[in-house]
Amino acid sequence: MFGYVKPYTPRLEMWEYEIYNSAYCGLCKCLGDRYGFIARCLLSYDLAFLTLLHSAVNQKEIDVCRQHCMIHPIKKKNCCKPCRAVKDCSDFLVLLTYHKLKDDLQDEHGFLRQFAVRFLLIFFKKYYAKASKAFPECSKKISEAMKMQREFEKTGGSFDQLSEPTAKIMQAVFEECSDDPKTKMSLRQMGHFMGRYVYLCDAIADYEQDIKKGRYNPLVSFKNNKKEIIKLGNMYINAVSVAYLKLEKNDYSHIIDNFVYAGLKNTLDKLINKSNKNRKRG
Amino acid sequence: MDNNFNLGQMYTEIRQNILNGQIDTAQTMLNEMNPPQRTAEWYFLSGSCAYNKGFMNDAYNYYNTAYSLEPQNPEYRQAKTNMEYARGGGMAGGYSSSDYRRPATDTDKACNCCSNLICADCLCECFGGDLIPCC
Repeated sequence: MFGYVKPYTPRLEMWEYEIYNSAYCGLCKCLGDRYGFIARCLLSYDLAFLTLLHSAVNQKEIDVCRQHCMIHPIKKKNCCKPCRAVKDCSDFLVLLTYHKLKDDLQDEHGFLRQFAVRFLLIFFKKYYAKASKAFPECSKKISEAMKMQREFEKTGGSFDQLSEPTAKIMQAVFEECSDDPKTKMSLRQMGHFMGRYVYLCDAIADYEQDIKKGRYNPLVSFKNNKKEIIKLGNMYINAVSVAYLKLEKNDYSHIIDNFVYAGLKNTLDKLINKSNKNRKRG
Repeated sequence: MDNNFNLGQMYTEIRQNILNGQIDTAQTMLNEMNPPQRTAEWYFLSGSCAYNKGFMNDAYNYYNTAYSLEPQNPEYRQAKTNMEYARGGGMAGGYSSSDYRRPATDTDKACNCCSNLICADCLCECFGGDLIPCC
């Protein structure tokens, strides 16, 4: 879930953009307060999406205040006050980042990257303990899925099978956003397909590099058939929208609509076009 | 005859399992059936199982097979159409990503409608007729 769930900004209204940004700033502040400076550096926009979804399904509105921060020392920025949505999402970020780092450690990377990952892990071990205390079940599900992923990477399989662990991870995170059993059910479904979508995006982004370096990529079975890949992505996005439609939401649904109906597709198209260009140049 | 009856009963049971969300049970029951027993219904139900587990590509292939075996069945046709709609970029609720908050183009604007009418009137008058008698 790292940088693939984004809005399509040209069709975002100003108030929506402000709310989205204030959720992002609030999340950053909350990470600083709850965990520390290092955690703030690894903030991603995806969790701002989850913060909005969290507030939307719990029928809560974000309280906005104007604050300074390190990156914006002169001009005050809109920033949402600490609330449950922000707090929960900061915990999710720590859980997800910790597992991502651990996964990076196992992959083959350059010496510098390995060093950076090891350095970050020193801090994140402590953060992780705190976050998994807040969400023990979610954390357990994520570590099980990570184990599953490592096994699948060895054995291989169809794309549907390979994207299962990521789907499980997102499912576990999304369902924690609500306490209502019916909402939980739809959130789980939405997270599931969001996970598959994210996995697909990740595979497209890494495709060129993986092929060049002789590493395994889950999209090899598609034999570079871009049309089929887009169609698969479309099916996932459609399934996300089906689950999303079942949720009861407040006014923030206008913002989330943008992610679901335009943002996901836009990101997918961009990734495909980018890999097309790279191939022509090479 | 007896055999067919059993098969029908089994499919009903599997369908019930899928509706109740017991996908794994339904899947095992489907897998236990011998290849000669696999009718269009088998492919359709397998497709439903795959869809519920999120295996979209498999679901699409199963639905397609079910439809090709029995094209006249409305349920199979609907499932196939829905999948095609999704693959083409359609979303639930009738949206598609291209028309989400699409800025109004020239042809959408109300004033454009009037100018089109005037243009049509001019053309009619050229040919000796009249579309809008007052102008």
